Amino acid sequence: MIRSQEMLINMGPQHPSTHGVLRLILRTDGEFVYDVDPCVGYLHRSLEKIAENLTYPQFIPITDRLDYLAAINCNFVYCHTVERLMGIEVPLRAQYIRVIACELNRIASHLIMFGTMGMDMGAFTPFLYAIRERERINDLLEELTGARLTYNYIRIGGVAHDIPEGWKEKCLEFINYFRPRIKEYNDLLSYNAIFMKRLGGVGVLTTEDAINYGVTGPNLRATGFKWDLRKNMPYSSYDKFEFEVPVGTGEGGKLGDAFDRYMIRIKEMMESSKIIEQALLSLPEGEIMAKVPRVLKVKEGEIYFAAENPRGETGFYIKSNGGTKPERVKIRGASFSNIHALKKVLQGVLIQDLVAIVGSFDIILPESDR
Amino acid sequence: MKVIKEIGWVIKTLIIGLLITVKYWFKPGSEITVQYPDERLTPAPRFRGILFNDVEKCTGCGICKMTCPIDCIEIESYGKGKARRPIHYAINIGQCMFCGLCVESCPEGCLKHTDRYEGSVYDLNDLYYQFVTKEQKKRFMELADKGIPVKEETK
Amino acid sequence: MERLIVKAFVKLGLGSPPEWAILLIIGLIAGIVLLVFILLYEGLATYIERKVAGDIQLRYGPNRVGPYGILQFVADGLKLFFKEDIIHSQADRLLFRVAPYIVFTGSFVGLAVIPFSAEWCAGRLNVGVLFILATTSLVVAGLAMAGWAQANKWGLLGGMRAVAQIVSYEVAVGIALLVPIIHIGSLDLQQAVLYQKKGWGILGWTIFHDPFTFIAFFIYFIAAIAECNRTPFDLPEGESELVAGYFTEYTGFRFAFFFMAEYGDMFVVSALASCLFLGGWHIPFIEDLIKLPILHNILGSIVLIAKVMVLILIMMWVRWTFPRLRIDQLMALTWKRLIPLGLLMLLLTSLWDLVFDRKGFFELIGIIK
Repeated sequence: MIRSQEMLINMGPQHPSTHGVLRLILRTDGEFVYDVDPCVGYLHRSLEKIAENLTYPQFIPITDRLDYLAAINCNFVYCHTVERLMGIEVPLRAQYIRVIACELNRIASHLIMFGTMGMDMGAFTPFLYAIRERERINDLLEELTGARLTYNYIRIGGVAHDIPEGWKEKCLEFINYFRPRIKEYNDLLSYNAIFMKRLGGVGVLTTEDAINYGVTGPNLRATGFKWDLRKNMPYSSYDKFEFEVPVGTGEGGKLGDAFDRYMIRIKEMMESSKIIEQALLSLPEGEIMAKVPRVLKVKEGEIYFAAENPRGETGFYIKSNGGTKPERVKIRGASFSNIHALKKVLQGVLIQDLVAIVGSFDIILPESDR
Repeated sequence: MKVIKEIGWVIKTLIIGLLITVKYWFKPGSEITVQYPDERLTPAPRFRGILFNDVEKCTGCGICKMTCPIDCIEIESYGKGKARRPIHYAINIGQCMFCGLCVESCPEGCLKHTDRYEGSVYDLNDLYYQFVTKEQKKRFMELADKGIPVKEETK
Repeated sequence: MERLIVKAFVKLGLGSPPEWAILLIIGLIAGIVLLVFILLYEGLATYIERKVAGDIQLRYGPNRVGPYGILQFVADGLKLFFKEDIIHSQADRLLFRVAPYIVFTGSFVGLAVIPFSAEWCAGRLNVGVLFILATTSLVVAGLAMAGWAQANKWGLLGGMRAVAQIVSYEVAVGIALLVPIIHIGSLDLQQAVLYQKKGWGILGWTIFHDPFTFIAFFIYFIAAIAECNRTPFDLPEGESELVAGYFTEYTGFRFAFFFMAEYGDMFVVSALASCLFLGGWHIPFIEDLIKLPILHNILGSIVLIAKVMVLILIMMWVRWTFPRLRIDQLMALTWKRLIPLGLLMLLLTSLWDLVFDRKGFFELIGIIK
């Protein structure tokens, strides 16, 4: 049977609204999309193979490039996996500093999601407001770590440098400045009638589908299922802080639609600012690095550890055979599993809804392609 | 009735959004752009800029070469024991990813980051920085032959 | 004006000129003046848009080319002029070339009937409003041609969407424009402006006549933004989704034509709103004190252009704040909300005229006679 009305359109690797080099092959009849075929792999750099030729501390700057919008979180997952394999105990001050840096980076990553969501919908101003906040976070992290995008801050056993003079006051000032901004973002974009109508009820993902496809992170919590690794399997003294885990509520229309996924990230920014304030005010004294030998030889064994990145659950599986270089490193990228769920969600939507849904999943391609 | 409420909600949210943009439109001096290259910002003290090695203090141990994940440092040393000095030290800045692992691992503290970040050149070979000049090389070889340790000379 | 031309002809020794020659020369001069005016305005409008965008977005707009960047539009125009003109092999050559001209003509010709002051009106028609509505429909034909001639799937989609949108919103514009015309009593734009003379040039505006005309003004304004394809209704050229919509394959100066047509359309639509709703070229408070006709004309044009610029700034402000609507929401907005509301306002305003004997609100409470 000849389908004479449908065409195959290539939303190719270069497109203004697929974030990164994602290729989507659409079967559409002009407005409705009947089927989607995502093609990934345009950014494959074989990081896992590179890890087999570098020693454990040498691989840390490479993990920065895994998900460049949330670089400290990726550093942290790798270092903590090695620490768990070797049984190293990280001092408490280093744990608190790690939490502060990770949460600052989470705010920065969610700001980019907020900005690009507005830009995909056609509102160009919220992106620039988000960049204004992100510049201040970048300045703070530059004073702490020395770089603005690829931080390379966390080491096996602790952190690289201590907090400089006056940084704590600047960070508290930033948190006080940032809280009213979230209200401004809500007024300008989130509760705007046009925006809510664009995103409400579109791209519904049920909890059962999400768990079947391996979707994690804010996308899973938007379906109504409360699962956050920082609360369910706490690590690095997250259990000492009080914060809530926002869950999707179906404000925009249906539970688990694109508006829920967007709103959860705005609420998570609020919760992260609470964590940072609590950590700063109760920062203990002490050392910042545990006693780790200069030349690191890891004992034989294998381990898998996953942490809560801004995009989902990023995990490292390391297999060691007793030398200075790992035998096998496998990275579980959160965006790879999230892209799989696109095929289920994008059936029978309009092309404009497709852009909204792909944006609301907040995928980043280097993490998916490694 | 429901229609009127919906129209009212739409108009209210649209006007709230418009008021926020008009606030920034008429606020004088709200631009946050820095007009590069007329104005430049200074980086933080810990900023990891382009590398610089003070070869007078260097002992040619080669730890920086071993730590670099990319192998962009080349070093050749001459002499034995405490009188060992580098006679060829080069960094390929074009390949360097400015991770800072070499600076952290340098025992003498002679390899440092500067706060320069503008490294554009017209010829790619200009990005291969050599830190030991020809007369330094000759002088180092003489001092190493005489056995003078590095630390005493630079005290 | 006619006397000058007759004198010029007699001086050149050609005898007394016939009727049609005078009309032709007046028409040519008016056309050239308007063309120069609109081209200059469009260049400045692109500059103003970028400056307004920069101010809202916490950055500077153009500020390198010339003092405060004011020559930026000259640089952009020159750049587009010298770009390579590519027509790819599968495009329909005739339609590809003709489409920009039709779109530009459709938006430029409407300027002919707008009264810039009491004596300065390029062509005074007694069906002025109908003329403008008819010529802005030419844009639809041009857009359909542009979308089809490109032989590009994305361009075709953009063209189809543009046609659907403009045709639907024209109905809303027509209905909303009927409301002040009920009070004015004629389709002639100069008559419309003269009707709003009472009340020191401000209180006599039809927008203050009764609350239904007030609401009709907003209906007209929203539909007018949709006619010009501006955000939140700029689906046909949606940058994030269809790369550039119905002018994807146009390069160089043909691309500039579409842009100029959009800004020209904005001017015509805002000028229509100013004449019918906001009082046209009446100078508030001091109109009767100005006796010199040439000064009256100049000040009148300045007042009209100022009102048009305020409306255009509001359009730019709306553009940089809101996201865009989806295609089915856009169609639902016009057919389910704007048109029924417009018809309701038409009915209620006719009832007001019947009950209060054609008197406006301010006349009723006695401020103006």
